Amino acid sequence: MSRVTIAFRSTSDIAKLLLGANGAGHKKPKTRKWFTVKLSEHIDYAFNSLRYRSLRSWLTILGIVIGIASIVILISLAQGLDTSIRDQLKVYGSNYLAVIPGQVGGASGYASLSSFAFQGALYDSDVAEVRRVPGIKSAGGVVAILDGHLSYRGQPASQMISGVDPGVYADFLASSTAKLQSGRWLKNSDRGKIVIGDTVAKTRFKTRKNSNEVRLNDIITINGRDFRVVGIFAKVGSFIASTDFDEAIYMNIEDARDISGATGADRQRVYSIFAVTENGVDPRTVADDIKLRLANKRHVPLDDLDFSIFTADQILNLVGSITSILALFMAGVAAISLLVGGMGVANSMFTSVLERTREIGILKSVGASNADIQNIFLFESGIIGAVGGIIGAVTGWLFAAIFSAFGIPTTVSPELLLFAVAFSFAVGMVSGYFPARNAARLQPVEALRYE
Amino acid sequence: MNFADLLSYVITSLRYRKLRAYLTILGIVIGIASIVILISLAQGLDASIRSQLSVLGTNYVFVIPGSVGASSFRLGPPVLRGQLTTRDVDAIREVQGVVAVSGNIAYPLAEIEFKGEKTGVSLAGVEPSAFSKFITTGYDAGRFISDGDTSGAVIGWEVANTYFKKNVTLGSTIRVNGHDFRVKGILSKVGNTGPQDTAVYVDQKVVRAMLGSSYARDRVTTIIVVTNKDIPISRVSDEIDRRLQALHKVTPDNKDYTLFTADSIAAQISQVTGILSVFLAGVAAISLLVGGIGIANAMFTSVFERTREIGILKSIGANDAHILQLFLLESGLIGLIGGIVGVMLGFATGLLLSVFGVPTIITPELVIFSIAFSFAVGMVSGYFPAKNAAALQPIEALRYE
Repeated sequence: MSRVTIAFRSTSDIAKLLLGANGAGHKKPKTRKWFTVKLSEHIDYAFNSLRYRSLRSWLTILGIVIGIASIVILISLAQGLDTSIRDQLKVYGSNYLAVIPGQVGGASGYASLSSFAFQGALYDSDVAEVRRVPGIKSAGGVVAILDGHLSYRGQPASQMISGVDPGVYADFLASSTAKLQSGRWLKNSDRGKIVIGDTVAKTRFKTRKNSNEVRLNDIITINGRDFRVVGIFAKVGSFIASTDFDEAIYMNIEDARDISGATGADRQRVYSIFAVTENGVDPRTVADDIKLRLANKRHVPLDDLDFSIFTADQILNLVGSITSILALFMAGVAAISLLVGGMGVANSMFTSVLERTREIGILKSVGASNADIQNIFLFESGIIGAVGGIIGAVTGWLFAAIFSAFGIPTTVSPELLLFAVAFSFAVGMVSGYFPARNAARLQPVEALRYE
Repeated sequence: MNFADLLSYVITSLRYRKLRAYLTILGIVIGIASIVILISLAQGLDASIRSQLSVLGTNYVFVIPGSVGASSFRLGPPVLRGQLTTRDVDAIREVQGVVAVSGNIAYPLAEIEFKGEKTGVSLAGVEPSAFSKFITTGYDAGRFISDGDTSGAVIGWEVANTYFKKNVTLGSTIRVNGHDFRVKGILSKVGNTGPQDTAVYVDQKVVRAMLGSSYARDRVTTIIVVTNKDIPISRVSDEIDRRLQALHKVTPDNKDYTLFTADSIAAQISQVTGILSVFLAGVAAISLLVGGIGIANAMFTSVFERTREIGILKSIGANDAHILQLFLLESGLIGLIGGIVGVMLGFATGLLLSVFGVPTIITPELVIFSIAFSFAVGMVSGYFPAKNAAALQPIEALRYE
């Protein structure tokens, strides 16, 4: 019973609105008046009809809500990861660059990175060449001992040791956020001295009975030689930077060569070149300069280099491109559910058109044009999409906030929320297109006769 | 009403509302197809890693220093607690089922020179006769060096064929860290499973001499154990574990070394791909949830439209259970058809991906599970609409306009 009354009410409402608009438009050019008043009327009408089919509308909206919420959550997770990595990389500052042997690029480059099988080798003479490049503040070689053999108070351990040029790292640390908790950084004249990370000091030699924490001025035996701890880094706590700070042991490069067992020409070899650029110069220009000079010195063609250069910039870009691929993939998988939700919208609209065939007939007989009918149904489906999008974006945002509270980094940008709502509105409109066209093409007489 | 009657009635009603039924089914098709595709991708990845691992055989145990678990995963070079010694090697040699043990010394960033060209290489000092038993993939040329051969080297396929402008051939001389070696063997290509392709193997004593006093005299970097094929590998590795625990004076939760077998590596990989496939399937399942809501919606509409029909059915003797079954079967059928078509679509896409070199695997379990799941989704989604339909009063329903 109530169905009939409501239907009548909404139909007479719209008829009144349409006639009213026509009436008011008598003296003025019709088309113009139509255009300005119509939009709000169509929206009004669409809202009324949605309210009338409450259960179906809510279920259809729910489909969109779920799709949009999962897209928002997954993209916010990927963006949160991106932000967290960028924050962690801040400890390195932005004015450094590294030259490593071998060509690191495609998949094969990464594969060989993991097995430490670099093609090509760098030497002290290459370091000297880099040092001469304009814009370079300082440059030095790095020698890594991958499995250094440590002993402290009789407790053994294995870990990587970095032999560096103290002056270059002093320049690097000046713009890094990493600080020493006690002692000092190495001096160029320091031999037999080391600076260690927080984790090395606190846990490397821990046993069940003894904490064995390393303190300033203690002696650690490394590959059979005694080294005095002159500095301990404050905890950085970054997962990514752990091997460079919390888990690191630094010594003079010459000390590292002594304990690595390298002899002859091998003593002139470095595992990488680390350089700090002058303030105000573009590291990319400097990197290009280094590329030219080293290629020339090493007699390798520019399109087949046997070394690679990394700037802080490039590393950030790499991170950005990896997290964007991740975000795209996740959003793509989540978008499948939005596609299904869109089909739900189409389905519900087809049903709506079918049920309201007579109503459409009445509207047409009182003067509604094809375009009016099409707009009414397009708005109805657009509203379903937009309402679903707004609720979905808010739900996704809430979930992201809950994840953040539990320590999983998420970032919800205003752009993401706006995009989600706009996208779901578009999905609604597109899904409603064919049902709306069907409705618009109905013949008034046929539609009125429809049972 | 028997089941056949019920079914034909349901099919007729679906046919009558063709467009809506198709759209609803399409929603399920998309959901099921994406689940099938994503799970088949994860399983394909798992299988392809396992087949690469199986190249090395299954009867070996790796021992490395440090405790490696999921929690200690980190980027960059390994940071390890503890170390292995020749005493560990001797203790393992005593274990029943052990065929050969090699205590290896790694020199990961050695310098190699061939015909004036220099590059970096991963050098490994091994106990020749023991380590040669670990090489099951064969040689392109030559054989492994024999015990006491301090001037011979065995090189990996990539070192021989890709590191230098000219290929390194059997009998040529390479210079590693300033020492000359004659190439006695070139290993066959293994693929990206192990380090063999990019390694240079020489006698352990030579590498120890190169490292000099910087490397403790009784220390080894890793230990490789080859076991008897006829004895279960877990028995041998458990016994090795027990002996090393006693020797290192550690408890099972405080170990300063880690054992790997082909099985344990495969298990770890499966764990990762398992998490991946659950995650992917979970995200894809969201679309199935949305599809289920679509079914519920279509069924509510269907019940609404057929109110009078339900009244007529009830007045000629159908009871509540009949009506419930009728609508449940209709929604279940939508789910089932969607599931079958979805699985076929997923299967076709999987095949297509395989043709383009992306490994996918579709197991019968996945097919059966997907179809059963979609049927269940259909039934569950249809439950409330069906209950509404069953609860209608015949007289009210007949009067309904």
